Amino acid sequence: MSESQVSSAESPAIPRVPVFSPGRIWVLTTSTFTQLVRMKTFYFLIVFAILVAGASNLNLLYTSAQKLRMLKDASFGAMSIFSWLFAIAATAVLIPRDLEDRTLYTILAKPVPRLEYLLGKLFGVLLTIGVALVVMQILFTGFLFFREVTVLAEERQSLEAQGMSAEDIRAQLELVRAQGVQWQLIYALIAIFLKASVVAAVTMLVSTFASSTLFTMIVATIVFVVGHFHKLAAGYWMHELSGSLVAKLVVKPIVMIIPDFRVFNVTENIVGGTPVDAGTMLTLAGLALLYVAVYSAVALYLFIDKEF
Amino acid sequence: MKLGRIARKTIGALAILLVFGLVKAPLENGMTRRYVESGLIAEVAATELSSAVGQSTMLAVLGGLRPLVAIYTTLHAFDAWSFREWDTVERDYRLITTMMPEDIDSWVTGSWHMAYNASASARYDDPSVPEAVAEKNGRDWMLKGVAFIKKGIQQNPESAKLHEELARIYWKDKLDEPCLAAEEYQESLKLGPTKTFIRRFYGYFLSKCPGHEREAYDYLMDLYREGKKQRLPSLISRIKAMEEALKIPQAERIPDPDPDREIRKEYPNAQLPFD
Repeated sequence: MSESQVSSAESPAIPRVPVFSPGRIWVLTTSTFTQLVRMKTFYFLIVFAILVAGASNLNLLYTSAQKLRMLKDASFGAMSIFSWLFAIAATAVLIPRDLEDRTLYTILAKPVPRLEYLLGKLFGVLLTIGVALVVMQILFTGFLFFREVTVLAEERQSLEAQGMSAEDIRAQLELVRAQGVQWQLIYALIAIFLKASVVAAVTMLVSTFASSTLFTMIVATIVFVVGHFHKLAAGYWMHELSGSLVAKLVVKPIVMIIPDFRVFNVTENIVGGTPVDAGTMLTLAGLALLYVAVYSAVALYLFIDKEF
Repeated sequence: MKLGRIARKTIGALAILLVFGLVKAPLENGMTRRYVESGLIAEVAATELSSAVGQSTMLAVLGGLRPLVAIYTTLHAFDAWSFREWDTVERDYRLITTMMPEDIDSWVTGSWHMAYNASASARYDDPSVPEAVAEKNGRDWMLKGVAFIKKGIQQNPESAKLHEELARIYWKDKLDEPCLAAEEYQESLKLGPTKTFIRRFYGYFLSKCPGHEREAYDYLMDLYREGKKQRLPSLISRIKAMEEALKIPQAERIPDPDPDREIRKEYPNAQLPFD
C-alpha cells in the first residue's frame, strides 16, 4: 500500500465541487423567484385584469376591427410597461437586498462562483417576468376571444341587415378576424420578454458598481429611454457637427455602448397584424442573448473581485 | 490603490462594451433596416411628431408605447367630437396617423370626421352663418377629408380600403364626383380582396361619368350575366336607366321590371340611391 493510499483512507473524502453548476444556478433562480413573489409582484395582475376588462368594454365610434385592435394595443402596452419597469426595479433591489440581509455573505462563503450568483439572480428576475407575462397573455387572450365572438356576431348582423352578399360578408368578417386571437401574438409576447431581458441585464451591470438602489434605477431608466432614440439623435448630431472631433469622440461611443431598444419595438406592429416569421424572431432572440451574455460578462468582470 | 483599481476596472468595462458595440453595430443596423422594410418597425416621422407633441409624449412614442399614446389621443378626439371641436378632432387624427401611419382604420375614421361630421356641422349647425358661407365651409371640410385620406393612400399604397373610402367621399353628399369615385373603386378592385358590391359600385359611377356610358353599360351587363347573385334591384335599375340613355334596342334589353319604377309609382318624389 502506498503512502498516498494510506492517507486517503484515513481522511474523510472531500466532495468534488463542479466549477460550473447549472443546478446551483437553478437553486439561486428559484430562490430569487420566491423572493420576488413575496414582494407581492403579482398583484400587478389584478390591475392588468381591470385594465383589459375596461378596454374590452370601451365602446367608442370604432369599427369592429378597431375595437379588437384597441384591446390588443392596451393590453400589450400594459405588458410592455410592466416588463421593463419590473426588470429595472426588481434587478436593482436584488444585490443591495442580499447585502442588507447578509444573504450575500452566506452564499459567497460557500463554493458558489460569483458568475453563478449573478446568473441565478438575473434568471430569477427573468423567470418572474416570464411567468407574469404568460399569465397576462392567458388573461388577455380570454378577453380577446370573447370580445371577438361578440364583435363578429354584431358585425354579421349589421352586414346582413345591409343586404350584403354572403361572399362580401365573409370577406368583411375575415378582416375583423385578422385583429382577433392569432398565434402570431405569441411573437409579440416573446419580443416584450426579450426586451425586458436586455433591460434586466443592463440593470444588473449597473448594480454591480452602483452605490445605491436609487442610482441603479435612475441610470438603468436613462439607458432604457436613451436606447430608444440615441440612433436618431446621433444621426442628427453627426449631420449638424459633420466631421467634428466632438461628434466622433462623444456621440459615437454613446451609440456603441447603449443598446438599441428600437429593434425590439416590433411588438407594436406584430400586434397590429404585420406578419412575422420564426426566422425573424430567432434573429431577435439571438441579438437579445448576445446582449445578455456581454452585459453579464461585464457585470462579472466588475463584480468578481468586489469587496463587501 | 482602491481608486486605481476602480479606474482600471472602469476602463476595462468600457473597452469591452466599445468592442462589443463595434461588433454588433452592423448586425443591429442590418436588422433595423430589414424590420423597417418589412413593416415590423414603423418609421415615425420624428421631426413632424416632435412639433406636434410634448417631449414626454415624444419619449413615450419612441419608447415603444406608440399604441398607448394613440389610444389616449383617440379618446381625446372622441371627447372633442362630442363637443364638436372639429379643429381638435383634426389635429388629434393628424397626430394619430403620424404616430401610426400603418393603421388604416385611423385614416378612415379621421377622414370620416372631416368629410362627414365636420362638414355637416359647418353647413347646418349655426343658422346665423349665411348659407353660401356655410356651404363653402362644409365643402372645405370635405376637401380636407379628401386630402387627409389621400395622404393615407400615399403612405399605404397597397390599401384597397382607403381607395374605397375615398370613392365614398367623392360620391357622397355634395362633392358629387362620379368619375373620381369610379377611378377610386377601380383602384380598390385592383388591390383587392374583391368585394362584389365594389364591382357594382364601380359600374354605377362609371355610368354617371360623362363619356363612359357605353363602357359602363357593357360592364354592368357583364355583371348581370354573372347570374342571380349580382342581379340586385340597384343593378337592374341602373341598367334600365342606361338602356334608356343609350337607346338600346328593345330586343337587347333585359326582361326584368324596373324596381325604381314601382317605387316611383308609390312615392313620386323619392330620392333613390344613385339618382
